Amino acid sequence: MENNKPILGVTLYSFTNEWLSRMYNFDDLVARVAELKLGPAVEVVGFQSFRTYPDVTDEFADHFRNLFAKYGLMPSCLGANCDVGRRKDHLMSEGEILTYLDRQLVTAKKLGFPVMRIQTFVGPKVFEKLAPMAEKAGVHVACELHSPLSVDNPDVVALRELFDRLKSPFIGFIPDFSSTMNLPPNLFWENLGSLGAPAGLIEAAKTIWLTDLPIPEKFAGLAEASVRFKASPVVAGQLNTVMTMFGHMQPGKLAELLPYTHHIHGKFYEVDASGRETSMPYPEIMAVLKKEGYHGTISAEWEGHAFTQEAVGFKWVQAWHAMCTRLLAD
Amino acid sequence: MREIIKLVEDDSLKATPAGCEVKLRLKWYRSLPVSCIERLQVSLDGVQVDPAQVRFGVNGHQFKLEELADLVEEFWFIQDSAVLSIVDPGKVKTGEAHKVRVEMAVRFPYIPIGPGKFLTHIHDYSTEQVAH
Repeated sequence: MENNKPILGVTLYSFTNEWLSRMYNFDDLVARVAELKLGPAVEVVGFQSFRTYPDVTDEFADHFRNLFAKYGLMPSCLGANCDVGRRKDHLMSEGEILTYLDRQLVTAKKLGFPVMRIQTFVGPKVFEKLAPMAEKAGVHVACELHSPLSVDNPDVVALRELFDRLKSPFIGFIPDFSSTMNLPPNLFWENLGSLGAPAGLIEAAKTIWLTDLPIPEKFAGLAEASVRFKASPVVAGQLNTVMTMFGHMQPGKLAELLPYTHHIHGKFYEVDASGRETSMPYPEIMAVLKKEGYHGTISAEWEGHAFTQEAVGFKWVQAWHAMCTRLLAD
Repeated sequence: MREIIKLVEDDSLKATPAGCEVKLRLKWYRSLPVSCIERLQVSLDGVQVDPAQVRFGVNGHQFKLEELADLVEEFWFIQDSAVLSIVDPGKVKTGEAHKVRVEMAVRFPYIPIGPGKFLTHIHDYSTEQVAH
């Protein structure tokens, strides 16, 4: 029966504030995740959690595997990055990109991660060359689709065409719920207010976000509102992130991505006292996953740390687990 | 938002035989290659320090500012403090209060925002500290 349900878990990225404050080392953080039963699936951003990343030693890999086995946790996804702009004067060549990602594939395999996250900007051309490398490593390499990368975005369409042509089970997508929001989160608006944004500007921005206008027209609308309400450059800059961080796709559209999906980012910001994520339609999203029989992994991905540095990640992830367990129950 | 992770760590000014140093934090969620530090400027008591006198240290190594752009394989681990040193013997003495201002621009090499352009954050932080 369990085979027909998603496997819940967490990304350690949810605990960015705790990590930056050095409240935990890696082993203690994993122990805390196990203690609070926030697994079993655990995702790690390589460049956040591993000191020697993009490489790891054999000794560390043994230690990591033993640690996860001890707590009954399973590695779900390694968050890789492609630092194409690491030199100011020139971009990585295609060969350099493939070498950089291959190092991270080796690390994923060593640590036992079945999925490795990369970013969509690498494009179909590089992805096609990456496919046999992924197959060789036995690691599913997937593009993360956060806002504004909805199903019908041209970059996403091009990748789907490639996946359909190659028919490899080792390449795919990682949908992120930031693409399917009701409204940008309260934390975002509160932060904007504390930066000095007038209430009228916040209302105008909410209205613009909710329209079905093309993205460039929404940006133009925000710019116009910033001028009208005499917003500071900091507020105007933050306002633009409203379009890049939070997307407005219908949850039903997720079904089209699931055939290419082994892992999902359960992005969220807050769960209210009634157990509801206030900015995302989790009941509808979970209903789609159940209906489609999705049985891959989902990470609780709390990203409120973009708007607060307080160490509150565990509280929110616990609330997310309670909410998703309830929504997935028969 | 209450600032917990600060560009210049609280109470980190130290007098050294070579001059002085403070500890820096990378205000991001992941480690970055040191080559992504685009600009690093320091002022001491309102006077800008000559870049030739500034050193940047991570992973037990110390670098001149002109070396940073090539350090694509030297990663500043996100939990680590970097050591920003000023080579000017006797400039700062233990027990003295000094004003330190640091400006640092960091390029995020995996967040393209246009052809050949990447999201860049500029941090500017001032603090007055008593040297250890």
